[in-house]
Amino acid sequence: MKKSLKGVEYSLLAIVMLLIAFPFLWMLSASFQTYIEIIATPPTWFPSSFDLSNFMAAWQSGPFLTYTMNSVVTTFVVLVLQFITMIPAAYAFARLEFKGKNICWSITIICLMIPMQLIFLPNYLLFSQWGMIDTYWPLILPFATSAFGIFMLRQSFKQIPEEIIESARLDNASEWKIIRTIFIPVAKPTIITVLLFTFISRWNDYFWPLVMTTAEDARTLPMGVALLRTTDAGVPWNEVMAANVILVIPILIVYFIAQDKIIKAFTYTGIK
Amino acid sequence: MADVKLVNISKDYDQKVRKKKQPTKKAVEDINFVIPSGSFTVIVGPSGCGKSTTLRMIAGLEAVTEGEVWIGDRIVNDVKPGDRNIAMVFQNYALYPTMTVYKNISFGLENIGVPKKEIDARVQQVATLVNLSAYLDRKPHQLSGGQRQRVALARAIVKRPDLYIFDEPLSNLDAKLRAEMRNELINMHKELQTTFIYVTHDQVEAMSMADQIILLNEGNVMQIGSPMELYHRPQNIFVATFMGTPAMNILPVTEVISLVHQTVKPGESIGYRPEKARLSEQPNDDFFWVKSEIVTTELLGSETLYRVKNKFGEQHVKLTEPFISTARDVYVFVKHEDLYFFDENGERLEGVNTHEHHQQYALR
Amino acid sequence: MSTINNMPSANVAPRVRQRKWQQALVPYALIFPAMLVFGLFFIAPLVFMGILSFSKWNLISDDIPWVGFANYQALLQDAVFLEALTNTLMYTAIYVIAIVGISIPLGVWLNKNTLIHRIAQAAIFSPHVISLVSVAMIWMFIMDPTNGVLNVVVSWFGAEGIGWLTNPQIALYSLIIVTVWKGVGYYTIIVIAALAAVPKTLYEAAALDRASAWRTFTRITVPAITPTIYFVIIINIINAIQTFETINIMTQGGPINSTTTLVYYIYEEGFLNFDIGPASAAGMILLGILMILTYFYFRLLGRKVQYEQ
Repeated sequence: MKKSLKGVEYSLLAIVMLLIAFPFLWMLSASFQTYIEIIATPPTWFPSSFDLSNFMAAWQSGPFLTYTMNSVVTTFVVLVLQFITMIPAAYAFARLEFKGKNICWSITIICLMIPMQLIFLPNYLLFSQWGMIDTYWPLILPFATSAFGIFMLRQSFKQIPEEIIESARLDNASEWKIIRTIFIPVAKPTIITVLLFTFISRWNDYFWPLVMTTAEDARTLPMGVALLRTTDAGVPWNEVMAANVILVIPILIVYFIAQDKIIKAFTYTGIK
Repeated sequence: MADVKLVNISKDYDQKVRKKKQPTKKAVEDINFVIPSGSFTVIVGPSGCGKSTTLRMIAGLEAVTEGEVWIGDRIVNDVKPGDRNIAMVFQNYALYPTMTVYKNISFGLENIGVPKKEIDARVQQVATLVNLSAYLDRKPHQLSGGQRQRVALARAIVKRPDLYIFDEPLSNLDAKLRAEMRNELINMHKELQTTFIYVTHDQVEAMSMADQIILLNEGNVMQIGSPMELYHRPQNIFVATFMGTPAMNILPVTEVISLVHQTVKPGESIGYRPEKARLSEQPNDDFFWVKSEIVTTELLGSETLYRVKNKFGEQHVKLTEPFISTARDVYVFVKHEDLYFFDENGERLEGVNTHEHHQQYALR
Repeated sequence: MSTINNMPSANVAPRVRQRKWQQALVPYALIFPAMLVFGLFFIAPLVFMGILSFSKWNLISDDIPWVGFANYQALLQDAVFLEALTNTLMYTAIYVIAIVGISIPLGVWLNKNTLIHRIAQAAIFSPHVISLVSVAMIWMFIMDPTNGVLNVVVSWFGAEGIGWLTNPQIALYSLIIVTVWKGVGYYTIIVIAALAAVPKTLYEAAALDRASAWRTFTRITVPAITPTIYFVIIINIINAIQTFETINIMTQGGPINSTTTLVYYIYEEGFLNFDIGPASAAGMILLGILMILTYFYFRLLGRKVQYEQ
């Protein structure tokens, strides 16, 4: 009885896992198929050969090196800027008293809740006024700090006992030294969490670059991949899937390496 | 080395904080006292009495609302905590969680630019002193409570401060370790010959360690003096009942009582300590006595604690020899010179008991 | 003598005051960069959008003609806008019900610490880290009307091929399937995290009281994770309202506007047609909806924050 129940559970588990995994596997399979195999009915489940021609074709169908560069640069700069801007702000909100703190905190919370889909239009007008469309600026500046990161970091800074800071003050440590030697090390897991979160959301972002770039060489990787579907002569799914493999695999690798941390990062955002 | 002097010190939290901590009153009101250089002064009182606030004002962690804090010959009201040359040991130890024991101890020295070589020498020396040499590479979370306590001590000692401040440092330890640490602190004080200011709510700690006790209640100083002074010559009912366990028995007087030396009026109270009372089956007019009955008996080993009931209410009597009796009525009796008298405001009436003639317990 | 004594204090006082004055500035210096970003790219655009919603600006002229509530009135008469509103409502309702209805049982089921269960947890979470672009394109391929896998599966059951993304009756639901596939793992993990916080002693007590599995679930598990369920509901409402990528890539709001949501409407009006006024007005309406939801969200969060202290 017990054994058969376990059997049922494991088969159900297998089904769930298959439902989740199938699209990935199907993408992978398609990325190796030839065009003939792709358009065949019934579909070809396994490609006949594993050559990389689809990947080459996809890569060469547009300036993918530029796309990749754009993605890497903007993501990296955003990460650095967020690190620089988040920590002092979170420290001030967690530990210092000043006039206007409540208003500034409310602004932070509002920014935490506003989706970019709501404010893209005025932002677009602003950046075009400044002649910054098709530069890195619109892809970087609005993300130079993270309301979410400030929110999370403030939370973790608040958990540091007051006595530890008082101890440090009695030990003649300056505010800056206190931040550097006590706050940052204690909040390291949270900082990593926030930066991972930022990395994934920036790397994957499609909407913002779609709005803020018009020139081909200003676009990012997700945009470049998305553009592949709009060819006139039928969608070359094998190449499109190959491009998606290129887009997905790095993130999946990061995910499976830092799986614990990422899951924690995302759940933490949910729980708090 | 310097005296610490508080002159007319008051602390009033701003409205926001006050709502949480003290709804109506100032946290500390018009406090004056001197902590002589080299003394072991314990500030004691029930929770919420303002003792921690007072301590934190001395350390500079809390702003002073009114009055002056003197350390030596300078007013330090506006001096940053780090510039007061003070070391503080906190109740929860406040160790830097991400630093090793070594780093925890050396942190303060690094901040004031002591040369690396000297830092190392001083850290090693202090680590030996508190028996932590083997643990210098550990992080705080890898240490036991007692070890953390010793790191906190080492961190204080290494700075060679003018003044050590302890904020209930032993309350997180178990009973046995606490007794050990009390001894260690007393020895440490002897060796360092520096001023110790120690805050606790535990009168036993105060009695056993202090050479000066400052007893606070509701933000006011109740009495300042040596442990024996506070024990034998309490200035009011609060001091009398706070010092000593079990507390002094207070007998509210409702009708005029004539005793050998004086008469006690209604509204006043008589006090006696449980350990000064005796039990008997007979009244004895050489003593102050009350007809009572025994409510409970607790055998404590070397002593026996009785709870007795009489017309004044319930009291404790502590005897070294058990009192065995089958009689329903027993008599509590106390020597006249062991009685204390308090007026209707709870202030002690001076000059009526022989303890006045006992030796004066002067400060060291 | 007295002058000499007074000299140092006279010198020291201003310096102390200056230091205090500088110290008062420290917090502002610390928050300034963040506040600048928020002000320039979040708050100012919101205000700007509010202004634009009452105007008819052609993006070129220097003066911005005021039209009062004309944009809002026009919206209410715009069939596409009203359809977008209904679509958003439908999409959100079904999506949220699906997410909650799947993630809770799945979370309860997978809440075990064996290797296989942990692998399953990691697996169902994985779509969440993938770019929506890839998710949309993979599913477009799967839902392809001519040689998509989904129709092959349908044909196994003897049914006709379905126009997953081409049939106006179905396209919205297809999009929901895709986003549910992407999101459900994440919320399952959140449910699991909430379940882990339920004290074990509660279950032990229930076992001693001979409670059935179902009663244990309804009387202990569900009440214990109710705050999380609320949270999942509200966050998903907000997420659903923001949906853009899948629509843009898979259907472009079609066929015949059947998948045009509020966000997509704003995008089309404002960005593709450059009807700034109506788009801004629609944005303001969306902002209103989000503010109401945020209010409820923080009511819930507020309860949690109090709990923390």
